[in-house]
Amino acid sequence: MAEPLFRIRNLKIRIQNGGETGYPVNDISYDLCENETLGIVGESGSGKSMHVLAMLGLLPRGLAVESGEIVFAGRDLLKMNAQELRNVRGKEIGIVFQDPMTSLNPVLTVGRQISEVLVRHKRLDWRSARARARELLELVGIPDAERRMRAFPFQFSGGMRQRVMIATALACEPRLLIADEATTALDVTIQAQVIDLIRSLKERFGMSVLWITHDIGVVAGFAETVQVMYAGQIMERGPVRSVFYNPASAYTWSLLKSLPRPDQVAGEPLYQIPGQPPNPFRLAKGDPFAERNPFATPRCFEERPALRPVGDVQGHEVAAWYDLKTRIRETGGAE
Amino acid sequence: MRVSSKFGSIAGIIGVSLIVLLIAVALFGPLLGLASPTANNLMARLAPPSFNTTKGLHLFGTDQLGRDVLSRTIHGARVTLTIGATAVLLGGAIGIVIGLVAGYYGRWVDAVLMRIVDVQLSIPLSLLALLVVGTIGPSLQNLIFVLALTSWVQYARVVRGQVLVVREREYIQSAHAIGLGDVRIIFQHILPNVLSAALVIATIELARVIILEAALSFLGLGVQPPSPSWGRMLAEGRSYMSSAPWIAIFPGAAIFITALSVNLTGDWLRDLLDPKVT
Repeated sequence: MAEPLFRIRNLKIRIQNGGETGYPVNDISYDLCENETLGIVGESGSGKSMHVLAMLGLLPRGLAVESGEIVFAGRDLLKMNAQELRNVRGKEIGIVFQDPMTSLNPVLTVGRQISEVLVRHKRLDWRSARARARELLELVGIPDAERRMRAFPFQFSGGMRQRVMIATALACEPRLLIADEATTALDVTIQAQVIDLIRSLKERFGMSVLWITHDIGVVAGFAETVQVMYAGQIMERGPVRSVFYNPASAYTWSLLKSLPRPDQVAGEPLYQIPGQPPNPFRLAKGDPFAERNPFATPRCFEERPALRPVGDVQGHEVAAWYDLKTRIRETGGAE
Repeated sequence: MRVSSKFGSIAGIIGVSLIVLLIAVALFGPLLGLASPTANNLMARLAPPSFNTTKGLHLFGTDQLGRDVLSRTIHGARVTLTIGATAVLLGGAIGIVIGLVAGYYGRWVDAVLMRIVDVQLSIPLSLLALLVVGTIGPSLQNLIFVLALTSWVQYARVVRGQVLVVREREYIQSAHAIGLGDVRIIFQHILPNVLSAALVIATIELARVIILEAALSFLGLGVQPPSPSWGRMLAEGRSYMSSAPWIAIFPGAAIFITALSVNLTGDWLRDLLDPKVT
């Protein structure tokens, strides 16, 4: 295994709301290696986007990192001051947000918005920044780049705008690209194009990719490692194949079971996970998924499980007290 | 909706045309070869408007010192528009920056700046203007300073409100995410998005400032003689209202038309830039 590019240890994020304290990210630790593509899957409120915002120092008001460390290329991002963080953002870490329709400033030309990163980080003058921005537009597959440079965002379609966002994120050849729900707002065909684009750019620049999504199918075709998050905790992580063919967490199992399948009988209802997503202000003391888990054991309600290895697959870990296969056999499935 | 927007654009066209006309008059009027606005001619005092050239051509008549009212009105347009535009730009620059800073940084910065705005708003503006000019003395610079002082709060409030909205937009988060600093985000990413609102305020303020300038000049605290100013002319013509009404009527009409055209333009701009307001 290669050196980790960044390392998160015991990260806890606190949200303060009136007298209540909640933990949208509750003690997570993981590594990301150079050149690795990690897919992080989870529903809304699982803490997947939140911990990335913490990493970049962009947490919204009311949220704060309570403890932990995020070491990126040998430096703790949480100990940096605002200026140092700004030098990392956009230069060493590029990020693409969810909604390309609103992520570009409507009153500035596209060329201007890409050039700006280069002027800021590479200390280029506007003229050479523009030339480089044009190359980047071509690189992300926007035809007629010269003319498009002078266009405003409203003249672009959603997929094109997302390409522009990718060009901006990649302008300084970052070591890490974070895609936060980057294809969620796009049509399926455009989604496939954007994923292919990022895959090829990753090869070309040799960077690591952190792909955050709630669409488990997107991760399957693209990432090497997948990490499933729930209630601000990591439920399961491991090589994509192993996790998908051999899930060890009841939550992963439920997510996979909820996917619509082409071989499904028409009219048959989709599987849905019973209950409600957890409230970060009232976290259970045990396994956060226990109350929605048909396979939960009494111990799940009492104690929070730590990540433990699964079988003999290297890197496959799960946070669960039970052995999923045994429990499925014992309970006869989830009906 | 359709009718009102159509009416709106007609009013807008009228407003813009009048403003263009006023600016043209202010720029090129003095080239018409009229009598100097400050040339006395006691032989031709209080001459009524006429095409008769025996006492010299005075289309708008002459005042109590025999000065040509038309020429004085045209020169007054210069003075008024210069003062109005400068005061609006100055007040706008101060107010926009304060609004941007208050809205962007929020918390105590916002609280302090907005309390200053509240204090400013609680003082009647014409009273403040009288007080300040009365204290530091009437001059062109002081007049502009005072008018700007009464005007910045409006920009600050509106711009702050807009910034509160724009600040939370995703493209501002994107700007943070590419490592831009506060100054760059405020002036290059937020400012262009709030300028249209500030522009609408500027038109409203321009009309208000022109009227306030006329009022101050009327009271003798504005433009000083012999410079022609509409407010001043109104004050001087007041005593001749029954015998020579033209002395006051023409500058009065000029003030009215200017304020009206600026207001019409402002309403039209507001509808144009923010289609949600009907």
